[in-house]
Amino acid sequence: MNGQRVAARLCALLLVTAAATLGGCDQEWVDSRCEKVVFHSAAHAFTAERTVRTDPIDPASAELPVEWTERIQSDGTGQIAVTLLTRNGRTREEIADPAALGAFDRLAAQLATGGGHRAFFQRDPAPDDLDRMVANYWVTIVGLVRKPITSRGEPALTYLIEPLAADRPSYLLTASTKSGREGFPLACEEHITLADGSSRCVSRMEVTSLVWGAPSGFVPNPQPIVKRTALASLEAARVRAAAAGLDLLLPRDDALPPGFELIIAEEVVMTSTANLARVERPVTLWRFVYSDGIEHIDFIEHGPPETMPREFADNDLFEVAFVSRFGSIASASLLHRGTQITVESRISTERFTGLLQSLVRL
Amino acid sequence: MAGGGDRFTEAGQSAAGDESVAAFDARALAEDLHRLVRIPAPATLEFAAIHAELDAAALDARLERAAARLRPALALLGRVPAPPTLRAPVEIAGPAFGRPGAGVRPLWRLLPRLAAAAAVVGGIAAAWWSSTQPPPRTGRFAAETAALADRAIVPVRVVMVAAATASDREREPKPARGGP
Repeated sequence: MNGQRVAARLCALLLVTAAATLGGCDQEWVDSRCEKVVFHSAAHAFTAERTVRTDPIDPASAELPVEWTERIQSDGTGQIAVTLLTRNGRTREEIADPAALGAFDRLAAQLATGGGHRAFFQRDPAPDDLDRMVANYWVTIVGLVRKPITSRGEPALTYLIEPLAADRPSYLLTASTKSGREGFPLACEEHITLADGSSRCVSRMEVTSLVWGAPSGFVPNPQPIVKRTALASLEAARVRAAAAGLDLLLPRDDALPPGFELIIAEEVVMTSTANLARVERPVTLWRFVYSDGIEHIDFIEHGPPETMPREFADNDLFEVAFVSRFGSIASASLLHRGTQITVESRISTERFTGLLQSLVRL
Repeated sequence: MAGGGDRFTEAGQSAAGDESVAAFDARALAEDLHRLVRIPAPATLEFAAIHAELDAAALDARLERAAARLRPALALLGRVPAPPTLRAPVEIAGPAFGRPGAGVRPLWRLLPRLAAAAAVVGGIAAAWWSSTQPPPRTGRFAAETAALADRAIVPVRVVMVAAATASDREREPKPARGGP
């Protein structure tokens, strides 16, 4: 079956290549089309409502599914507002239980600020580099549809992205093909491969309504990021972090899952209230992103916050990585000397553990 | 029906007993070859159509086309020598094909062809395997990340934290009133 699939894909690739050649399309046109596949939400004005659901990897675990609806507004100038409408089927006004109310507010804040679990919930899988994606995934066109979410229906392409290595999720993505907004994510299903080889859907997102154009009464969410500086080399990151008293850790290449490579090294200044005075103060952190074209492994490294429990250091919990999971996302926190390191990824637990056990000093 | 046409019926059976075996063998062989050497599917379909075809002239033309497509593959396996004329399909399905020993060659004479076939299959397998391998890292940090391979690994202990989400607390059973 695999051989037939490979043959079918090769044939499809040849047909596309032949069609492109016969059609006489130039490289610039191809590049332009490819760039449009990567949709930048903040660069377009729209209002979208969508439902999102995440399920635990292990149905027998204590973790339970979470389902919510949200409204995303973008004014097209880089500002975005995300509003939580319902959580587990209830609006905020319908919730009386304090614990559920707290959970609602936490999720709303996370979605709004773009921090914390925003990365878990909101990180729509989207290609960041087509060459890397094609090198690491099988891409199969499933169908062309017209989604009834706009007045005339939104033309859309559904495609399946399956990794060559079974240690990361596969996705069934539906994206708009409307000229000028190609790549806008309309639906997404995330599937993971279990140890017995079977597949399980662990999250799904679907846009339920979509209005193009500047939203009325738009109030962007406050963003904590003050400044981003792209770093040209790891040496530059090491020197700048050392000046701040940090000792950066990164994984060895041979411990990375196949196909991943470092694509971003940057210094970020953001405001945070994680200090004893509970007031907003600037915090400098170093961020490293490994990518296989779609999936990421994120490293965020900074000085330990003042609010870190004293017992943590007293009990000598240095070099201990605490790993938690939400859906298919694993998150690890590690204290190494004067540096707190957070690692997040959707790769399998085994891979993730191996990665954490192969960190070296920069 | 005339010519080769009367050898076949819709069910693929023949009026002459031993020829039905030959016809069946040819079709099975064609299907095997399709699976093994990936002959374009229409060739196999052509054979299926032949068995359902009652018109002799059309049959001959289809048979010739099918044989022309199959001949290289058949010749590769040494089952049927490449015939000089377009009447080859009749030979394929003819009585000679079913005779004991007919068309059988000594194994050692097949070795070069088997080796060639193995090389082709090996090449395809290698190409498929290489297509499943990730490309070498070529990003702008590739040299620096590769250099990290020499560094000593920081010993890290990994502890899994049990998932405890807000939704757990929501569904946690409340203690009964008046209970302990």
